[in-house]
Amino acid sequence: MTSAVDRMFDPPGPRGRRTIRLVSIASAVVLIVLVAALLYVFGRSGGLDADRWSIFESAGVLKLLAKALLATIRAALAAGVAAMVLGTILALLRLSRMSWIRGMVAAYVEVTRSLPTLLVLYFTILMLPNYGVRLPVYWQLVLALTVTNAAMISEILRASLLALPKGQLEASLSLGLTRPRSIWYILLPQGFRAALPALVAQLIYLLKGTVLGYVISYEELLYSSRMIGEYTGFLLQSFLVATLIYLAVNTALSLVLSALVRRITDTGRSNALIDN
Amino acid sequence: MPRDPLVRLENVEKHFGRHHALKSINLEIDRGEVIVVIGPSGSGKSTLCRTMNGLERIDGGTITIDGQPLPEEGRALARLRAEVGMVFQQFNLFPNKTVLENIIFAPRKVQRQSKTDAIEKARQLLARFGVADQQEKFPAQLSGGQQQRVAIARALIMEPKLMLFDEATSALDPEMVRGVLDIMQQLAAEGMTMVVVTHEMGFARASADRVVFMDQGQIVEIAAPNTFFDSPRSERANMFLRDILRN
Repeated sequence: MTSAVDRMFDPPGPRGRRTIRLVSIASAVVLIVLVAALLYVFGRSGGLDADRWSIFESAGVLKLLAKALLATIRAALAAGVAAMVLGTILALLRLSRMSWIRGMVAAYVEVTRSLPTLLVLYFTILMLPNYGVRLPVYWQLVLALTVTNAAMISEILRASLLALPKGQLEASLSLGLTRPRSIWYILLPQGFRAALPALVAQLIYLLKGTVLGYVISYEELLYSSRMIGEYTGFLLQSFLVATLIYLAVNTALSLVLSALVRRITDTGRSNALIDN
Repeated sequence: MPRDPLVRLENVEKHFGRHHALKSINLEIDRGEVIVVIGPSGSGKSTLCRTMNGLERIDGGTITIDGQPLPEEGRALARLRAEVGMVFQQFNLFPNKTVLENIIFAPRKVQRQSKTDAIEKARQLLARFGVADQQEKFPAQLSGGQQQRVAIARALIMEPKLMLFDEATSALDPEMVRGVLDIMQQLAAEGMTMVVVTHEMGFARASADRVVFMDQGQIVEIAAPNTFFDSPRSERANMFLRDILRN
């Protein structure tokens, strides 16, 4: 079984294999020692004591964490879908043949992707009420995440659309499809596939951005973890649990999205950049 | 009897920036006629081919297809393109669609044919071109020759009145060229109107009704294939043929 990385290089010779084996063993030893040392020091100061972790057996704490995780996922899901849709629309508008549309969208994307999400969030809190718009905290967070991430997604997608071979559009046009339909049926699916790794990275980034909910008291995972930690006094343990949950959720997100898009846009050929 | 050509180009001009790619091109193509366009690289032969379905927009002159001026844009141009098949040097099959999906794509989306009808026609074409067993594969899993035969099927299923071949065999391995040329020869024999840009002089001799020789954006000579290859009138054609025969 060769991985994508293996295919990029010549197969190693006898000396290369020896070096690879040696480096692998050495780094495994270093890693084990490092983790053991960390656990030892942490345990010596009582960090691993059962009573510091037993809080996570209580139904109340678990329920709180579950609720917080759900809040994180709900915000990330809504913002993720909205940002993908808006980002796709922006990317397509930048392919418009009307230069003033391209210019306006370019300016919008340039501004929104430069702004920190936190700043956008402040604007939604402070500005929108002036216009009579009062959003629940959930939608304030979703809105801010959507605005900044859509800009990034549109840039990712635009780059991958522009990188597609020119012949794809020409083939579709010459079969009698109009330009918009050619873009929709032929270019967009291929663009999504090519952009997949960058899009997954952006969506994980978006999910992590939900922690900004704390400024508006939106009770997402990190907010609740800190509450649990402060309430029980075991802050570090709470954050470690939150870490594990983020890790699990983001890994799952990455796997599911990759499998999904790969299935929709199968080409029957392994692609060194996507498959491995 | 007045002539009723399928394609008429009058004083067609095309520039790429400062490069004058087509200089006052005049050409009439009759129904059922096979025109082979040859000439050195950069002579404008591909550009000429691509103007006939509007992939290259012309800067001057007129192109008339079946009595109608070539639409400049939009749905009208798309409708015209649906009736003009094009085969590219690089095949340009859709990599994320199977062979069958590639072929039924346009009949389904453009002509709104039912799926069963489109598949039935696609199967007939694939069988005829010797790639029936490849229909569930993706283009990348096929040889270049097979891909090009699928690309021809993809164009033919639209039942075009004109077929454009833009160096259709130039990207193929030598042993793949024959199979594709055979199909093109069959089409020519069946009376398809064809414009073929190629370096295959054998095909030109065997199937062309007229050979168009281009150089530096101009049509230098138009002649029946035997006349052209045995006694070209122009010095430029003479030089071109000598260069080719030397290789």
